[in-house]
Amino acid sequence: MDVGDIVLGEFTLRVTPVFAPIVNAAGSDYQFAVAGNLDAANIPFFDADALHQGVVQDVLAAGTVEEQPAVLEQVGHSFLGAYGETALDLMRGQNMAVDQRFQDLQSGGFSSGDVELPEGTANSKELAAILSTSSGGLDFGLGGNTGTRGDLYGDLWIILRDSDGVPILSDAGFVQPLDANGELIDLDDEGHPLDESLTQEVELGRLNVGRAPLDVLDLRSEEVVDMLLAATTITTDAAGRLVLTVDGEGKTIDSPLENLAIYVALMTSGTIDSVSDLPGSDFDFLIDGVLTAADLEAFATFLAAATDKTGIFTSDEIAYINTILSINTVTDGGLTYSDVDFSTFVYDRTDTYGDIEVEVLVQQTDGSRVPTLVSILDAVFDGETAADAGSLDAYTLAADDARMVINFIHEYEIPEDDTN
Amino acid sequence: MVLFFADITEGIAEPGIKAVTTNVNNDDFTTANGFSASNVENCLMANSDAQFLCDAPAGSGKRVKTSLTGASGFDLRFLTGDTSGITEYFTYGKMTNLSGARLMGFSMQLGTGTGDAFTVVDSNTSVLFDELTALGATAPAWPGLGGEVTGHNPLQRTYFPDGLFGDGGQEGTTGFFAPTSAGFVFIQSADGITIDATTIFGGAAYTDSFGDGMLDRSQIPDGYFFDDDGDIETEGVLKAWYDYRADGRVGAWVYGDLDDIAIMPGSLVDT
Repeated sequence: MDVGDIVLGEFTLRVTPVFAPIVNAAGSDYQFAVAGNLDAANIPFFDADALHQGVVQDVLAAGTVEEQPAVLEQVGHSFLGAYGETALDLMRGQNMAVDQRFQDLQSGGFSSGDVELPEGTANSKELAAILSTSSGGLDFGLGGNTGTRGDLYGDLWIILRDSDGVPILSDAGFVQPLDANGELIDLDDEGHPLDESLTQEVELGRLNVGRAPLDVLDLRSEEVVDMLLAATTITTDAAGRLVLTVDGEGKTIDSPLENLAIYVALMTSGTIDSVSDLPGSDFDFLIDGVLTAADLEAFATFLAAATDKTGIFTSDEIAYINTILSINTVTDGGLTYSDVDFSTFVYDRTDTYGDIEVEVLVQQTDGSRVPTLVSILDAVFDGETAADAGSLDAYTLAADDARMVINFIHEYEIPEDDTN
Repeated sequence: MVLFFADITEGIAEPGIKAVTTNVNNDDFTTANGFSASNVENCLMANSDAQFLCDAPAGSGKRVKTSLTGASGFDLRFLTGDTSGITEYFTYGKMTNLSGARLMGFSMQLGTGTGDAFTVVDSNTSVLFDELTALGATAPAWPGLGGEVTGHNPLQRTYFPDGLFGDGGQEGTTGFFAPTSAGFVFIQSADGITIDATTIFGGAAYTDSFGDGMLDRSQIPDGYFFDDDGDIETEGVLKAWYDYRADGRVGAWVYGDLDDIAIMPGSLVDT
């Protein structure tokens, strides 16, 4: 390096790292970590599955550099799916710490240097405000384990609801948790369960993605729109998921995020924006802008395709996810909830699946598996009939049945090679 | 972000780097054989004890040790004084990749200001990289060059650790993976003000196992080491590494470039 007389009396040597394209697509430290792990598939001694390379190509294939970070957030290697639960746990931990601090204050258990409890401080929420001001570090925007009105994102407990899933409040105006027997849990003056161990937590599982930024779903919506516009025929599979023929090739919309994007669009506006025409007329209900009770059964399938294939759908889970997704939400005082009219909704398992048969692999007595045509009603539901109407519970039954059918198809479908 | 190591146990004091000038206005200085760092007069080096200058012996810790810990690079700002001439500086450096991702290389630029205020110099400025010089007649005989007869001065490269690729170095007396060196070649822009180190050299011995980039610390393979001198303070000798492709893609501990015994015996692993 040659250094001569420099007028400024200084110079700078800049060293800039160069990364692989997938890593350059990252827009945040978190995405950088995900991309770095994906890029490790290019290290030969790891002997990574070719699938990883496929994921890298999928991300890079996203139209613009602005879209690539969003896709990077959605890949299966991303932490995004688990983020909601973890953030919730963190919030609970903070609240529990404050509650403990409040109890310590009340019992005189603080030493010098701790926050003094101002005279008249009545409860942990007031204390939270004090601590948040004094330490500048705590955020209680999401409620928590105190039974506050509008406590949507804090503890997701099974609570008392009416037939449409709207919370029924206690006489004091708090949401009312239920125990395992469906009995009301006694609450204190702040609406907190006197015995929190009796509460039943609602797990959102994969539907936690509903807490992701809106642009994640928006991006998937755009992809769905593109596929619908390109489709020459539309049918459904045995579970009711859309099967599109694009460029002569059939493709089931089986991505959870794409199904969730469809679900939100239809439940919110009764139509998929930007799509004004679809092949044939059987699926015009997707674009007619009207939300009818008959539509709801089809929409339940899209929700089922977005959730975990295992586990059981619950009405509380649907009520919470509808609220989080801002589907027909109502805010009353401090409480926000989803209010969908299920009064005319009718579901009969036999009507939906009684005539549906699918060819799947059935295990024989010798252990081999043979492609066999089976009845969905028999194979999935052991021939048991079920029906319900006029409530979120009926809707939940329809969604959970669809989930079971999707799970069955996923478990036993014939690999493509076997059909050739 | 980058970390500079000021390792007191190795006699390196803060801030980890120092500029040494023992002979001003020595423009176009070259060492006796044209490519080694022997008897370099002026340099940027680790801030070692005062008695260590640019010509300190091999293994005395002259390299400025940096660790890349994120996606961004770093700026090094130096203050200068007038000498009415051009002074030649050699740069000793070492970079550890702790970024979390493979490093496909790096680039170096000279300029003024730091961060967003950084402005690249132009070719008329008084601080420039030397033009990369072609190989001298004796360079191909240097073991670290692997017999190459074309290219530029072997010092104008970045080397992966000797002992793993290439003989010698502080890590071992034989090249564990290959007898010849591997690393990044420097390529200078036409205007001379940017140097890119993004092209791997070392051939298939490196790329077949580790690809076309420099691994992050979290991505390096596991290894079996032998404490050959009974001193836990010194590095052990690498004896085997875990290759996920070995043993029919089951994964196994394998030796380095000793092809006659590819997979480490299970009994040895057990012990």
